Amino acid sequence: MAGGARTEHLTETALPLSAGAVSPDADAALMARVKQGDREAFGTLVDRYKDQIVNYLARLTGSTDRAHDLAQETFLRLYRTAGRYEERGQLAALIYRIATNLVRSEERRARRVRFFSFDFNSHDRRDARPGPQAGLLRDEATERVSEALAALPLPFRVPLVLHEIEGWSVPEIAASIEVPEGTVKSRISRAKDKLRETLAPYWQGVSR
Amino acid sequence: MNDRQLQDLLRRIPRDDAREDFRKRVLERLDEPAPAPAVPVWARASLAAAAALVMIVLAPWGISFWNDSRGPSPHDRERDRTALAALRAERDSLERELREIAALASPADDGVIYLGGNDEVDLVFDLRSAARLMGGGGAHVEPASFSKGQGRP
Repeated sequence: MAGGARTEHLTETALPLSAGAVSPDADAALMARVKQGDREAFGTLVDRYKDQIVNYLARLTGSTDRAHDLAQETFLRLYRTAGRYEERGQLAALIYRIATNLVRSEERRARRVRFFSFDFNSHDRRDARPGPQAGLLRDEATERVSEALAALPLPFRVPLVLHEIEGWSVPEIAASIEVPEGTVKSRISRAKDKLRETLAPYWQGVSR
Repeated sequence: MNDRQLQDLLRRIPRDDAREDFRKRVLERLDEPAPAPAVPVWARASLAAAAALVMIVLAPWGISFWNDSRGPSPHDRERDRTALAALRAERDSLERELREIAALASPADDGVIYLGGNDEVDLVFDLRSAARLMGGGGAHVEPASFSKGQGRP
């Protein structure tokens, strides 16, 4: 997954699907116990994936608080559907898919609410309260990038975050979000174009 | 901004890790009842379309039923009364004419069948003569009337 060119940032923090830190076999054993109602095993799974999922959701939503709420909901859904889980060595992909679907549902709901309330100016759902990482977000550049990222349409945001921040490979993303690899590459490329376009004014100011 | 610069910016975003009590909070919520499954958008759209269709079909019927249940207006009632009186008068008139025609009819006219004819001759069949003749042997039919200038054969 994360190739040799992957930065230290990713190898330290992200846990891609095929990374050694998370063994599919260990996941399978834990899920087998979870299916029997073993809450301790489920707790171990939560510990194993919680940081990745919270960070992934924070990048998708642009909100630490929303990320925590959605991450909790992600794990609850995993637990409730554990009985139907079929082991294929893709637990991580399943958890990310649940998280992505939750974001998609939330954004659809928000769009409907905005439509019915005719409140077209409330598109920025990011909360004003600073998250735990607020101290680190003092850097204006990262703050602007984070905002621009969260404003991308979800079909472009998901593959970009998975690829560039979570360190997934294109085939892994394609399998997880169930689209062809070519589509994944295309969406990543277009997402970058959109980001460049959004950040261009700021970037020109900084680089002068 | 080139691709490398954009990647650097993306990777400079600090990671958000789960809070200390994340696991505890998730495990505490395991016993919460699962939310009811959301109705899919297509199902909601179908339901709305069906409801609209039912309304379109039932609305005229409902309006008609409501109007009928209210009964006729005084104006309608007066109009109906007038029409009924006219029909009764017409019926009385027809009955009267029928009685007059019956009174005009002569008993001698009974038992005669008009069989047809032309400008010169009318052919009728006298049942009483026929009965009489049948009793006397051999049917005999003769014209009952002739046009002017025609004598009996």
